Amino acid sequence: MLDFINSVLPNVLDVIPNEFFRSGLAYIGAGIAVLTGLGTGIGQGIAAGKAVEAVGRQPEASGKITVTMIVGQAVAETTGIYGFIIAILLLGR
Amino acid sequence: MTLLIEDFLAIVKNPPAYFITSLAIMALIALFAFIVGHKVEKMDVRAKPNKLMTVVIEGIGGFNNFIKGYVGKHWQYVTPFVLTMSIYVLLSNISGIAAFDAPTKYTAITLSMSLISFYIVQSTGVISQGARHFLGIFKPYPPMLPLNLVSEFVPILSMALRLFGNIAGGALIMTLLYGLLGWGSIIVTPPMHALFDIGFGLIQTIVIVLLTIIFTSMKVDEADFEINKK
Repeated sequence: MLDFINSVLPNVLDVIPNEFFRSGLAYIGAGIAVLTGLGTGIGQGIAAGKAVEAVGRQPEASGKITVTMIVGQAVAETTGIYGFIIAILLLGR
Repeated sequence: MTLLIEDFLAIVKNPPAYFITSLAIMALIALFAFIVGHKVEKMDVRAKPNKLMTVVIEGIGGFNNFIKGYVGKHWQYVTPFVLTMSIYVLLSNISGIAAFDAPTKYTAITLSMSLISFYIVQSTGVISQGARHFLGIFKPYPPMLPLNLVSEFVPILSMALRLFGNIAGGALIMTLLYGLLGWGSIIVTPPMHALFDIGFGLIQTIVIVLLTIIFTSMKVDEADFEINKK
């Protein structure tokens, strides 16, 4: 396995793990953590689409539907916010 | 122990900016509430209230009705907590627009908000159901105990982090914009301020209030939902 890595990426095993290496890896980790926004975006989009359908079917209930949609979206947003907090924590490294 | 006291004294001598903002908002709310309460107390039954008083009275009446619909009989216990918390959270979210250090940008403040919300939920459960409230964690089957415990205590963390993350994220994006645009930010940032400070602040206020009331209404006994009108 090590021989394979050495043949594909020479010098990758002699990297000295100094502070720049650590902070670089932390930035990469922050970028990966922000990817939680993917699921959040899909969930909020589904909620908004269903709300549009509901308003189209029953326009007189639009106020109630809007409030329910906003609350549901804000709850769905929580996982994205977790990823964002992890990213902020990693940026301080 | 002495270290704790020294830390406390250091904080008292040199308080952080958001702490002062928070105290100022609390003083503002207390002063406003005291003046309005005094005026309402002295008001004649047939007297016409002026415009501000009408708005305040109608708003509080509407909020009472809103809570009655969810909580039922114990609305008089729940309303003051929730209304005070909502006004405080709304004002501190919006205070970012006046160049203050918004208190809800820090986890210390948001965690205390979610602890208050947890207290409201549990104490309403005790008032409404008595000792049966604590048996509720065994509800469907006794093996569900750990899951029920998690679902009781995780909202503390999730509410605090939700409020903190939204407001801090908005503030971070605003800081990046100011650094990126320089003098051009005079044109671009006002609508962004309207979105991140007022829009998200209002939405998060609605969310924390609605979640508190909905969690509370789950703890209320079924017989207490009907309000006996005399």
